[in-house]
This record gives sequence, structure tokens and C-alpha cells, in this order.
Amino acid sequence: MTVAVVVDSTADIPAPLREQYEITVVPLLILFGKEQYRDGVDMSNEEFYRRLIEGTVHPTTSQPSPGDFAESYEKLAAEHEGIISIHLGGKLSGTVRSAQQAADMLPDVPIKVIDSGSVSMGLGFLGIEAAKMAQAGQKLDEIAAAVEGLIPRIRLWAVLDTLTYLVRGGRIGRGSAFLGNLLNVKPMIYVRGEVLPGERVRTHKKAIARLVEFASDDAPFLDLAVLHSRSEAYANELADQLSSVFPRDQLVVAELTGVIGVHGGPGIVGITGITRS
Amino acid sequence: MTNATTTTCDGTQFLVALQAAARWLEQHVGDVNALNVFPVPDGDTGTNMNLTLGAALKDVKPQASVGAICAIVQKQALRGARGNSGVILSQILRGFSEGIGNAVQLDAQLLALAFTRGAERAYKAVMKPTEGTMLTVIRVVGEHAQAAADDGASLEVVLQAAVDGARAAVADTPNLLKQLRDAGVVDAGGQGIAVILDGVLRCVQGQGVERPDAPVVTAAVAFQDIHSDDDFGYCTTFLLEGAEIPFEQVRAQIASMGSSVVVVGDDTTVKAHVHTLRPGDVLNYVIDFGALTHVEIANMDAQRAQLHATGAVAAVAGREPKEASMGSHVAEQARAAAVEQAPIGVVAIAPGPGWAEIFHSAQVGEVVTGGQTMNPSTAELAEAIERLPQQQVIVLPNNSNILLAAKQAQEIVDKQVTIIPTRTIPQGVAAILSLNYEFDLERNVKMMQRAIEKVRTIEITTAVRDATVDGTEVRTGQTIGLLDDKLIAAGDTCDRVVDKMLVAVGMDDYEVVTIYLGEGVGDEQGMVLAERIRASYPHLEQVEIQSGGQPFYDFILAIE
Repeated sequence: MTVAVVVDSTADIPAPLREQYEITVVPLLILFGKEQYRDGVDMSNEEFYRRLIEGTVHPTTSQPSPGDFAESYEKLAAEHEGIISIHLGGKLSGTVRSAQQAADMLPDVPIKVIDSGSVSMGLGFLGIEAAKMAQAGQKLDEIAAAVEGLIPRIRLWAVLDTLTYLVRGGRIGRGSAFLGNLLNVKPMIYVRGEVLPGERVRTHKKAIARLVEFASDDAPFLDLAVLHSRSEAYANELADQLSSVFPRDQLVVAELTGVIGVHGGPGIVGITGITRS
Repeated sequence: MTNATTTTCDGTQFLVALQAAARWLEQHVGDVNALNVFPVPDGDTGTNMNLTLGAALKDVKPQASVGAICAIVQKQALRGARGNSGVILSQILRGFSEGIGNAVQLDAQLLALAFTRGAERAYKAVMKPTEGTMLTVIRVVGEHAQAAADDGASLEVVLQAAVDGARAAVADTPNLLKQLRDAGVVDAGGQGIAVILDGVLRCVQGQGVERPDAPVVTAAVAFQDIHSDDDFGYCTTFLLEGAEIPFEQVRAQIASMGSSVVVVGDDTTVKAHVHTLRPGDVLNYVIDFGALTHVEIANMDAQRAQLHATGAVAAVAGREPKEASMGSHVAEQARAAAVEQAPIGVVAIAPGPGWAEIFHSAQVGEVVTGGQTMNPSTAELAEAIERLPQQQVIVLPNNSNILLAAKQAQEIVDKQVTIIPTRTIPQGVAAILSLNYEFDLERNVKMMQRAIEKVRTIEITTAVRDATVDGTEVRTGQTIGLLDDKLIAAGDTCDRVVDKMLVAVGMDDYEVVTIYLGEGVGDEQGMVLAERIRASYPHLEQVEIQSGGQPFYDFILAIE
């Protein structure tokens, strides 16, 4: 009996890694008007972004219900000694609270719900690190403590192509400093609990150069990923340029899932990782 | 001091002499402004020194002690200092005051000492003192005064020696500074010092300080300062260039055609501002005397309505609406709130309404208007710094002539102020865009300094006289182009000059060009220029047009 690892669909863990580490993913929901889809399950990323960009209905997102979590937890409880459930930052979504409610509904199952304060592979790596520890036979409390300890070491920087989606979704927070900029600029953001404003750059090329600098400044990394939404070419360019910071063959390139796409839009390029210390 | 029996001077007499000097300088503002190295109608050394001295003497009451008068004057000068020349003048007054100490009476030795102390302060105010400037002039003044005092001269004779020294030193400035020699002018700031001392001497000698031939140059009053609440009709401004313009007649006529009239210039260039119900009549009248440029007519009623509606006058071209789902007013409020809560505050100086808006939109908490034609005073900068809620403040002067005033402001406020030495406005924009609240002040300063090195600035304007500057020959009326403050091209058409400038930049390494339109330059001109640049350099990722609203410079280009 080992500890089971649960994350939500915003973790963006690529399928091969998800399978290798036996990580359970609970999907958030995407709503195009009355049509409802499970994030990353019912609709391909390609189809989702096509509808986001071309469609007339702007999608909204919804956290999984406590029932959705409870269902997964109950299934896992039978074969595991405990469950660690790691989620999208509580300031960005109610997902982690929904998970906690589910845990409270199942007092007999040992469940640790953790607010990653992050998104995408920022939380995905926590899931992978937790799974590694679980596979090594570590106990739930040890794993939970270790994962909590990793949270301050998460870095996530990204450049957005536009602020429009962030504003529409109301997730802008302190990023409001970016609003109304008359110059045609690309805002750079940090995610650390919430979306924080960074500097502004004029071109993708400069954005990539800055992202590489950010990563170089905070190296070495335990894990590192390049993130993007419909920007594979830029993502690969960035991945290549990061070779001095992190081994290219261990670097994860992940496309942002639809839920993040709804709020960040297409054209995002970013980096996330966990520093070694 | 064998001959010292003749004169000493008390505080009251000293103040009268200073006031006379200020009056004399006021009447020479135009002359001093004209001593501009660049053949561009934006010389403002006379204006800056005049405003600085005016602020220094404002409401000073006569009293017996020279030292007491000096103490007030130097303090007011520091706060009122505008432009580099004004700041240096304020430092001269500071040193002068230190030399006087708390002496009640001024005598020959003390005057010489005060001049010398003034010179010492002035040299300390600048990072790299350059000879052939007002620094040289005040130093020579001190030396001549000291020599005369040591010879036992009277106060008046020492003063005469100081004036002679100043004149000789001014005449010598072109020999010391190549830029002056090339431009065929003496140093403007030095000339200002000579005029001030001359005014003092005239007062002492009873010659009077009313200049019969004085062109009525009201100094370049910032146009926004002269608007009153009950203004209506059209705010009309223009630049008239010609030969033998009957300045007095033109000025009087314009004055009779409207209100809030400011007319400055001489018989070749007239800059005018008037509020009138019939702007066409004014333009029709002046067109007979020369060529009109920089014509701007704004409907003040509409302007005010807009001002009330949005809190800012918007006039930006070539801009796509952004954040469509959030009203611009709401967006502005949200931004302002976020900027106010930020750990680091920023003050930027903007030389036009468009620039002010751009800086506001890009996270600048306090925008001070001013720049090429109206340098903000030390006090204005200090107040802007103090208005910000933050304790850590970054200042972007965006003009080399504002650098010293910014430094002086830094000294008089009780906050942690860092000045990023932005010399051009595009540098200021590059600096603010690199602001990152996630970093501490030190790291932001480093990032900003790096950012300003990466942007090149091209400024396009029209020569108002023949000159040779930085090795380039310029004829009156030609378009001239400056690259990072250096004149590098002149030509008969704007297109050709821009082409030359872009070649000089070496565009291969750059990705974005932003064209900032000057005051009175239409969007279409900007679009034509943007098209030309796109066609010549298809690799550019963006060619963007913005309304800058800067005077004199039709186009400012930021190359990044």
C-alpha cells in the first residue's frame, strides 16, 4: 500500500509522465455557453483553442465539485494507505477548497489537500515529486511535509500575448498595473499565489531572452518546464536556449490546458520549475 | 585693503542690486536663449536662469544683513532651479551665500571670496565639469574679483573686475569648447552670468536696468500655466518663421485678437499662444509675415469636457483599442490603484500631452510636464516625488537638461530617490517598461540602466539658422536629424534625413520602431513615415505610431 497522488487538470502533466508516476487527474470544467466539457478529457487542446479564438461564445471555467473529488478519493482509498491531493492556487480558483470539502466528507480516508499557490507544471512538478516519494514508500505525512517545503521554491514566469483574457476572466489581481497601456507591449507575469505584474517587453524574442535570464538567475533547478499555449515554435526556441540552465532531455515542454487558456489566452510562453534550494 | 574706506554694502542695498540684476536678465532672456548650440528653436538657458533667479528673489523682504538676504535667496534658488543652467546658478548662489556667512556688511574681500565659493559649489554640482561653460565664467569672475580685492580695490572696483572677467571669459568660451566654436556662439549660461553681474554693476553705477531696445520676450511661459478656468473658444498656438517680422506690431495685433496671449520671439521666429473665438483670423493675419509651422488649434470647451470625462486629454493615433471588455475608465482606475500600492514609485518628465498619457499608462505614478521648452523646477520635481505614496522613488528626467534639477530634488526630499539618467524620452519609456515590482530597487535600477542602453533615439526637427554641428553643415530651414542627442544628418526633405538616420542606426539588430508624433503633426504623416520604414526594413516586428505632442520635434523615433 502506497500513497496516491491526485492533482487537477491545470497541472498540465504530459500523459507519459502521468502514467509513469500513476498520478490521478481530476478535471476542471470548461463551459461554452451551456455546453460543458471536462478539461483535457472531452476536448483536445487543438479543438479548444480553435473555439476560443474563432468562436463567438467566450468560455468560462468551473472548479470540480466536491463530489467529483470524493468519487476519485473513494476509488483510490481502497488500494492506498492515504491520498495527497495537490491543486491550483487558492487565490486563482476554488478548486483546492472543493477538494478540501471532499476530504472532509471522507473522515475515514487519510487525505492531505495542498494549495500549491501555483498553476500548470508548477503544481505538476509537486505531483511528480510527491509520486516519486510515494513510490519510494514514504508515508503521507512525510510526503505532505516535503511537498509543502517545495512550494516556496516554485518559480513561474510567463509572457502573455494579450491581457484581454486575463481581464475577461477577472483573474488579473495586482496585474491591474498593466491595464490600459497605450504602447503595444507584451506583459510578463509571475505566478506566486496570485498573478503578479513583471516587466513589459516589445517582442517575443525579447520575452524569450528575459525568460532565459530569469531561469539563469535562479538556477540550478530540480525540475524545469517550458509552458505555452498554441506557441510550440517559441516554446521549442525557449527550450533550446535553456540548455545551459537545465538538461534539454529532462526539460518538460507542456501545453497549457484549456482552463488556463480561457484565462491567459493563446500565445503564452513561460517557464516553471522548482529550484534546487 | 588700503582702499576699503570707500564702500561697504548692507543687506537692503544688496537686495536692490540683486533685483536689478534679475530685471536686467529678464530683458536678455531672448538673447541668451538664442545662444543655442543646436540650430533648433528650443534654447531655454535664458528662460531657465531667469525663472531660477526670479524664484530666488520672490517676496524677499529688505533687511540689514547681507548674510540673511543671501540665506533666503540661496534657499529659494535651490527649490526654484530649472534646467541645468538654473541648477548651476542656484549652486553658485549657494556657494556665494556660504562665502558671505552671517556677515552683515559686504566688502570687497568678502565679495571676492563669495564669488570663489560660488564657483567651487558650481563645479561640484556637475559630475564632469566642462570648461568653456558657465563654470569657467564664474571661476574667472572669482579670480578677477580676488585679484582686484587683493590689490585693495573698492567694492565697486571689485565688481567691475568681476564683470570684466565675466565678459572676457564668455568671449573665450568658443575657444575652449568645440561645439560652441562650430555653432558660432558663446556659451549661453556663461552669458547669463555676465548679464546678471552686469545688471548688478549698472545698479551700483546708477545706470538703470531698463533696456530701451529690449525685445519684449516674456520668456517661454509654459502654455498650460496660463490657462484660466473661464477660458473659452480655441486655444491656438503656432510658430511663425520669416525674415524681418515686425515683432512688436505682430505681438500687439495678436494681443488685440484674443486672451491669454503669449508671444515670444524676434524678427525671424515668433511663437504665439492665444485664446480666440476666431483662430482663422489670427492665422490669416500672421501668414503675411512668414511661414507657419506647428499650428495647433484646440477647442477648449471640448477639451475641458473630455478632461472632466476621462481625467486626461486623449489624442492618440494608430492605437488599437485594448482590453475591450473593460471600460477604459475602469481600467485606468484599476491601474492607478495597483500603481499606488506598488513598492516603488516613479516620477517621469514628459514634454507633451501624449507622452504624459503614455507614461501614466505604463505605471508612472507622477508625470511632470516639461522638457525641451519648459524645464521643471527642482521644487516641482521634489513635490512630485513627495506626492507619491512610496518611500522608494525612481526619477526619469528624460532630458539631459533636467538631470541636475532632478539631482537637486533628490537632495531636498526625505525619501530614497534614485535617478535613472535618461537623456531622451524613448529611454524613459524603455526604463519604465522594464520596471518589475518583483525586484527590489537596486535590481530595478540595474535593469532600467540596461534598458536605456538598448534603445536608440532619433529626433527630427527643422533648423532655424545656419550652423555646423558635430561636423554636419546645416542650412536654415533644412530638416535635421539627431541620433541620441548628436546631430548626424541634415537635408532638404524629411524622408531623406530619416533614411540617413536609419542607416546610421544600423537597423539589422533592431525589431521595433515607435514613431512619436510631435505637436501639430497629423496622423497621416505618421502613417506615411511608418509605411516607408516598413517597406525599407521588412524584418521589423512592429512599427507603431503614438501621439507624443512634443513641441519642435515633428518626429521622435524609438528604435529597439
